[in-house]
Amino acid sequence: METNKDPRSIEWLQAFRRKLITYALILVLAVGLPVVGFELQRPWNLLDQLITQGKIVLARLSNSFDQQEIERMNRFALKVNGLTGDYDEDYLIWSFNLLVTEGALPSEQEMKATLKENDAEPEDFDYQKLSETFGFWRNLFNQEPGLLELFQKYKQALIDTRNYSEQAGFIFVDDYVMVDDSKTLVFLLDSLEWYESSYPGLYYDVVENDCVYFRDYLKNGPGYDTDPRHYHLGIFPKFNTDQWGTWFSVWLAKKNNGVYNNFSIDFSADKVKRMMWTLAVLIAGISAGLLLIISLIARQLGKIISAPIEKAFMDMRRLDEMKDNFLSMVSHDLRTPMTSIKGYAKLLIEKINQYDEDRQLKYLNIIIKESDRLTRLINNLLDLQRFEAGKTKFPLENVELNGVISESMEAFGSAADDKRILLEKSGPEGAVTVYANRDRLLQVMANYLSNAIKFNHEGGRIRISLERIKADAGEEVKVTVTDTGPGIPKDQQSRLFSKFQQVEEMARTKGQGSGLGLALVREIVEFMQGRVGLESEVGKGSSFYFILKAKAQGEVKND
Amino acid sequence: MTKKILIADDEEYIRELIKASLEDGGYEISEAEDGILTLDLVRKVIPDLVILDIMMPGIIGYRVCEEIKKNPDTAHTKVIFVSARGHEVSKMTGQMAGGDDYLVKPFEPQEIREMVKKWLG
Repeated sequence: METNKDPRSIEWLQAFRRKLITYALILVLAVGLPVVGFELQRPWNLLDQLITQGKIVLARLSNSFDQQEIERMNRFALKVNGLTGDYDEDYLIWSFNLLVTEGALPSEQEMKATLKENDAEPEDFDYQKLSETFGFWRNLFNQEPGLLELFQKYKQALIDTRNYSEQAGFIFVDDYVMVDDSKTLVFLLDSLEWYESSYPGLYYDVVENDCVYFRDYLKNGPGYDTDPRHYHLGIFPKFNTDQWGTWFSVWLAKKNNGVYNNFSIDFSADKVKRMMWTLAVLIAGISAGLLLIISLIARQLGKIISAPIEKAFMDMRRLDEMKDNFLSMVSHDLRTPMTSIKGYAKLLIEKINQYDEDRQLKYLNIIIKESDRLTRLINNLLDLQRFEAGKTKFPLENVELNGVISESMEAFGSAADDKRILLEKSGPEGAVTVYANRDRLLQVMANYLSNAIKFNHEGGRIRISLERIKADAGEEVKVTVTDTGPGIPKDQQSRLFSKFQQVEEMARTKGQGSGLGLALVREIVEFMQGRVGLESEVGKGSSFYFILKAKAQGEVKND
Repeated sequence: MTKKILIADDEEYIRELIKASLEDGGYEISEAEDGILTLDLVRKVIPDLVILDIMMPGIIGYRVCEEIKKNPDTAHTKVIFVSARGHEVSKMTGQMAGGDDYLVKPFEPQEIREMVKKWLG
């Protein structure tokens, strides 16, 4: 379909709206896709950066523990599970630490002094509890010869690793973060960024192929999965040197959940890839959904915005059509009398000598009649225009309707006689008063009557009836002019009082001032606060009426 | 042989004007005032020429013309549209309906005489 180039046309507007939506979509895509792309590759970029800058290093915790030793520590942890129920966890951790690092429980004075020195004395520090838990550990370790030494060896390895990384200018991070979904991964990488900005260096473990493995320093610790493809990820805050706390948190997790792996999740290359893909699909899906929603909203908005404009365009177009019809009708109605006037005048000039006096007079009379018709038409036209511009105002007064009807019947008596039409009247005699304008009412009656005569067949009848009708707002008076003409089809009745009529209708109802007359009638009656209408059936004739509010008898005299 | 002309117009004065304009031509002239009467008369009289108004009560002029041209008895009948509608679209519609000529109102007696002469020879 070719687009209408006229900017006033509805097609142009619709095309414009389509274009607008397309451009908006392209804009959203152009801005949205790079953002999505950037977000997708950001984590990888960060890792690349860290690796290139040497912030991720191979710093393995010494592999000084064999399988047997690991199993032994695991067994010990399991054993402890069932035994520690009666003791306070804080004191258990504390005393365990003391046993492994110091080998002995310091005196209460020493303990308090150390705590005070470190500004770490619990308000309700209970040396008795500490002593009890210390005894508990010592008993356990006594039952397993060599186990204490194993833990001490492990502790030393941790301290060595820390020292090594600190000497190497890295931070020995000491907090436990588990990765088990993409969200955590992103969080983790953001944390790395934060650590990176907060500390001069970071401590990581293994970089292998294109995937990154963060291997925690507990990799050979109790309960650790020794499969080399499954590394645990751990990030540890620098200043907490109590690695046993970490160990215990793992142990406590195990105690609470019974399953160590719930806490420490495998983080393999395949899993990373899967995670990244999930992440990518997720982000792409969300972006696509968002784009769709945005475009739908834009579409709806466009519709909402353009709806009133479209309506205005349609109205304008309809008005244009109506104007065209109106002009064509006015032109027709002006041309018809013009044709007669000019034609007969020409004939008279041509053949003035051939025509006898009767014929000359007849033609001259036609010229005068048609000139009158033309004048009436122009007056109607101007009247109507003035009504529409709201410029017409005529005084309203009390008018007696029976008098108006009689006068108009007299005026049209001879025209009716010419067609042998019987003019009759029905309704109450005596004063029927309305608040109106007498001259204008005569004009209305003249319109109805001339139409009734014009469209009636020879020898037909016209009845003017006057009725009082009861209405909610008081009494009303209805005047109806009924003819025995051909009638008007239902579908054309409603437009008859409109200024603009379709050609088909004009063909049927054509006559003096066709259309204009009835339009003017409506304007006049509505100005008098009344209403007009018609009832008609094809083949049976038409009834045109107007209804005005009746004046009560008492009011008449007072007015 | 006397040529037969039918004048179809709902305006009495226009019919009379056309008739008066053609009265020296020696034609046999009949009149109709609406579309239905026109078709009836055309069938009865079989005129050589119909001067046809477009906006007539009953049946619109274009339709009347179509009917005339459709009927084999009157297919040879010439049709001149006489209308107040001067627009090209109206003229084209007239042509499409089978009209032979088109005269726009207001016209002069001389014009209608010449046009009738042109079609009846």
